[in-house]
Amino acid sequence: MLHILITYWPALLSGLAVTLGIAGCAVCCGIVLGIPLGWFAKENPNTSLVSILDIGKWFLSSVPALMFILWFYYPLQAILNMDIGPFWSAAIALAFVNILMVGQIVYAARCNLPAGLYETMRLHPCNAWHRLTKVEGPYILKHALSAFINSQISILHATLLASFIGAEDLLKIGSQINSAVYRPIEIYTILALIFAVICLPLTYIAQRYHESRS
Amino acid sequence: MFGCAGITKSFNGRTLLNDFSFKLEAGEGLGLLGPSGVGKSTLLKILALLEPADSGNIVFNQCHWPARAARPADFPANLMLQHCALWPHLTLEENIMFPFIGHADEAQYRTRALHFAKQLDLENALPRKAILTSGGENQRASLVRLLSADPEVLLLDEPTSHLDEARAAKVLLLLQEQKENGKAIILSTHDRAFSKNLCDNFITLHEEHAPTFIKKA
Repeated sequence: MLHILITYWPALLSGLAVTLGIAGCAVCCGIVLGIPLGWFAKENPNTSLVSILDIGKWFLSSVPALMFILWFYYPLQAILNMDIGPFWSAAIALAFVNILMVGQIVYAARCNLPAGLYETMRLHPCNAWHRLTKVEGPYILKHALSAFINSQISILHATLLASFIGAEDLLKIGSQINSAVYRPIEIYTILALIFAVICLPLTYIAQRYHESRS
Repeated sequence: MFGCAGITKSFNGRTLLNDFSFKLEAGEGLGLLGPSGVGKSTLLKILALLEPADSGNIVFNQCHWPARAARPADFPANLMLQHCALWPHLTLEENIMFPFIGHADEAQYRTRALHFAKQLDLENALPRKAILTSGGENQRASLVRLLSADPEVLLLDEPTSHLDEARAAKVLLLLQEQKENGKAIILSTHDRAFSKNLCDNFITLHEEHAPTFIKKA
């Protein structure tokens, strides 16, 4: 196993960079767009934002992430007459999935706010920035963090699907190395260990937050 | 003058209030009496424009607000909720002060808050997070927040339910001071002695028939 690592570390590193790049794009979009989507959907319940989240919830629970990636890479690009490479196709498709997931987590956390606290904010309105950063934001963060981290881990796992459309991610690189040396046990164990090293600390944090809440 | 006119409110097919009206002058206290579940808290929430009524108006001096309207930021009445509703991750001081942060008169509000906190023996609990403080401390912090906002009309929903006699007496003294300063008070409580000491008039809500008005002898 060590021999494979020493020999192929540049290739594995480039695969890891692609995997993390796709995941990073999806996570950033989820944070930048998903959090405001969930926040404002609760703030303005009569707007179409709630409908977007409702439809998104139905889609995400019934359509696998791989379908989003495949659909974005093949038919949508053909329809729109665009040519976007596998890396960005996977990143955009997973970003779309993650925006909806994060939006739903934030929206649900705000909806589950105890009624008394919500009434308090109506009786004692405060500066919007202060509310977001000091009052309601930290409370929501604490209650949604565990679900948020778990969803981001699932996005990281879903990046493996990018290899289906030819992205040179960790799985694809691993498969290429395996084709060359045929050492599947060692190679796929290495891939599993790489994912474990990245995900275990996140899982631990999510677990700790979940325990501290309960 | 604060009051309501023609308030009707139904909930789950039951009519809680039907064409209900009353008025209250500055410096007066009004007690809401009646068994649990009769609609005292709902009435207070309607008066605070926190919960919409089916019809009617809330009146303050020459201004009228439809009882279905959204609560404006400068509404003259404010409510201390029955369940104190403090943010558990904030200290009592932060819970009291958050509505005033960034306000032009923030320092003035802080001075008022500390003054009321001192009167209610709450100074030592101010730096503690609300999740770690007792129900009585949280209740007094809620009252301090309400008083610091300086509304013209104080709506109080069971303000002493978690307090011992000595602390309840201090709350009574503070509220009597507020009355003397011209604040109108509407109070819902099961503590008859407390309401008798604070209120000039009473309204008893009933499940079966219309509310009855009682003037203190």
